[in-house]
Amino acid sequence: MSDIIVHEEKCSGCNTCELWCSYAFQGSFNPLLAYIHNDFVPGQGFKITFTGDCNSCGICVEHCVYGALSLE
Amino acid sequence: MKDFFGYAGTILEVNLSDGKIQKTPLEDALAGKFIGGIGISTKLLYDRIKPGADPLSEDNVLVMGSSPLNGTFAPTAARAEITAKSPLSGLIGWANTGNSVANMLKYAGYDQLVLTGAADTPVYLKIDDDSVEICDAAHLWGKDAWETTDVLWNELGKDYRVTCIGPAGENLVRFACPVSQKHSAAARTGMGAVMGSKKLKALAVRGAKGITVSDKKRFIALFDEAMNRFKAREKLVGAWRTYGFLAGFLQAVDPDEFLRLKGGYYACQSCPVACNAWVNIPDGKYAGLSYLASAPGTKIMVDLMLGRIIGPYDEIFKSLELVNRYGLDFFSAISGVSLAVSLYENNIVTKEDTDGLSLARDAETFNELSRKMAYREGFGDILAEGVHGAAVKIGRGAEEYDVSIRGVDAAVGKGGILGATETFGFVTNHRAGMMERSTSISFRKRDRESYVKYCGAVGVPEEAVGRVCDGPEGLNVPRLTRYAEDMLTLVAMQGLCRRAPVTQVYDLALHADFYSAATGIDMTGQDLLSGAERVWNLQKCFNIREGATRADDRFPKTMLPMKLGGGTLDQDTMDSWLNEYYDERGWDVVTGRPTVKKLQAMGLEDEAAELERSGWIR
Repeated sequence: MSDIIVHEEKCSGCNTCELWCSYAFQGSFNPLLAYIHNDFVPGQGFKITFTGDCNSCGICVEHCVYGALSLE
Repeated sequence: MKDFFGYAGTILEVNLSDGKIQKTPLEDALAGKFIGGIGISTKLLYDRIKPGADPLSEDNVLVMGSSPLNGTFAPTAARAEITAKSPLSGLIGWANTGNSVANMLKYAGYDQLVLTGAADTPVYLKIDDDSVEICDAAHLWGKDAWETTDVLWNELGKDYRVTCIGPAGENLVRFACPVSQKHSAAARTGMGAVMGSKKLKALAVRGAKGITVSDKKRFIALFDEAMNRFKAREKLVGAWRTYGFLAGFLQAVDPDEFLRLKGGYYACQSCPVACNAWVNIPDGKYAGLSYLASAPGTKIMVDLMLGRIIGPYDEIFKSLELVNRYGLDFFSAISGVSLAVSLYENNIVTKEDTDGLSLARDAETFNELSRKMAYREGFGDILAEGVHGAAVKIGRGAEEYDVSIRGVDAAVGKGGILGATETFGFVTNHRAGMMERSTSISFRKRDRESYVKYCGAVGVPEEAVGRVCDGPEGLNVPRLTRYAEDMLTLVAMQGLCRRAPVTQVYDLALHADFYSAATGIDMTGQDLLSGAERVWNLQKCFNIREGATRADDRFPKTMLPMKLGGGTLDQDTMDSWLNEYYDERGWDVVTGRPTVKKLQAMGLEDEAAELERSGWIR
């Protein structure tokens, strides 16, 4: 299993990664149910974090059109 | 209870007068006929608001509506509308917003939130899945929108999405707006004043349920198809991602200065375009100012079109922060300041009227007048009525500077006029002000073939294409407007975005495919368009019932004649365009209203009967 590398400067905060994650693992859409999250920090932009349940499956990487995520 | 796909399946109704909270299953008939978002909201408003109701009383009803696609990963399905009778126009009002509480309402299990009555003391509504609570907001009242959001996030946690009003809404400024997550304004037509009149300071919503769709495999295939279409428009998407709304106006603005103040792009939920930005001012008097901004380019454009009321871009972004904190619609605020400055320059108002202020085209004037408006202080109390109300109150010839249509400022004033259908649509749009239901296709000159292609994408019947794509410029403006309005009403009913890169991706077939895959209810594009036409007609019925007539479908005198395309638009042309528009809608050309037969044919039999009984239509 590869690690997910984040390129936060490219993140748009669109939550598509969260929606794919929740859809893949919970069977339904809701960013709150995802294992990946982003949060806007003034002056810095978007910060991406993963919960302990993330298994680096890479579905978020696959669907990030902004190039903010990649696999090692 | 029946399983719903796409839809959450429940309408939540909260009566703020008696505290009654009601959850009603979404009826198939309602969803089938009015689809979602502003479609269902329009029906709920029409049925619940009595004609003549004071928009700033407990008799008004405020609805936040979402669509079956909202909250899924269907690209751009984050848009929602807040709807009520507008205190600015006295007619139907609505305001579209990106990252609002709408998606979160879906996650909590509700398609529509209906707010009736009015509380005696300030409250906020807390929704945590099934738990719905009207909470005391004494500690929030008086705070600006950013402070209010921070307090609620501190108390409840950042999982809660917050939509709230600032002082402008509390003080019933007629163009006050709700602000979501500190930045996403449901800007137009005074929905924040309606919240204020209900003493409703905020909505705080958290939903931990998920949304499921009917045909998962097909839904994923449609996502891929949509994303491929976005990828095929890489250049257009790239321009919007970099410059947002300034993309089409780079000659007229200072793009480098815009980019210097932009920390990065920012997207509404599930959007692959990211036309928003986060502001990050690196130096100067506002060094360090950083916040999420919805469509910041539009503020620069409107400022330019009104003759540079604020001017430097860092000042515009500081002013935008203040306006968001106050909970003022930026467009109406700048229209109001533009009016005030014009009147001052022409000696119609003097320092005696302005509380001793000299008014100039600068940020200092804009910020001070915005503050006065938000708190209804002195001269600001007059401007808080909106440009029309203020012009009437001031009198002495101020009416000549009124740039409103049915009470709603056109936002571009008379200094800058957009392209053809966009401009005409100002007048035919039921909520008035700005072009958001008129297409951008005729924004610049195109050949006839482009219009024919557009007709195909938006479902113009074949028999109509000839007359829609007619005339020396390849289009008939009023006839094309009718179809653009229906298509963009459908976009709103689907909870999708109306910006150019998105409307190019979503043709009618893709709309229908997404809707059907999400809900399991098979609809063709034409079915959906018929729904949109039904909604547009019902919105017209709302206004007719409030007394709006054909005479209200007009630009203020001060805006005509205007240069448009290759020619000049004057009142005679407007009259003849309106005739064609009503004709294309199948309405009575003399009265500009739908006929009884037309409403019946669209399944609006009850509404037709009611309006006929009252003598409004024939």
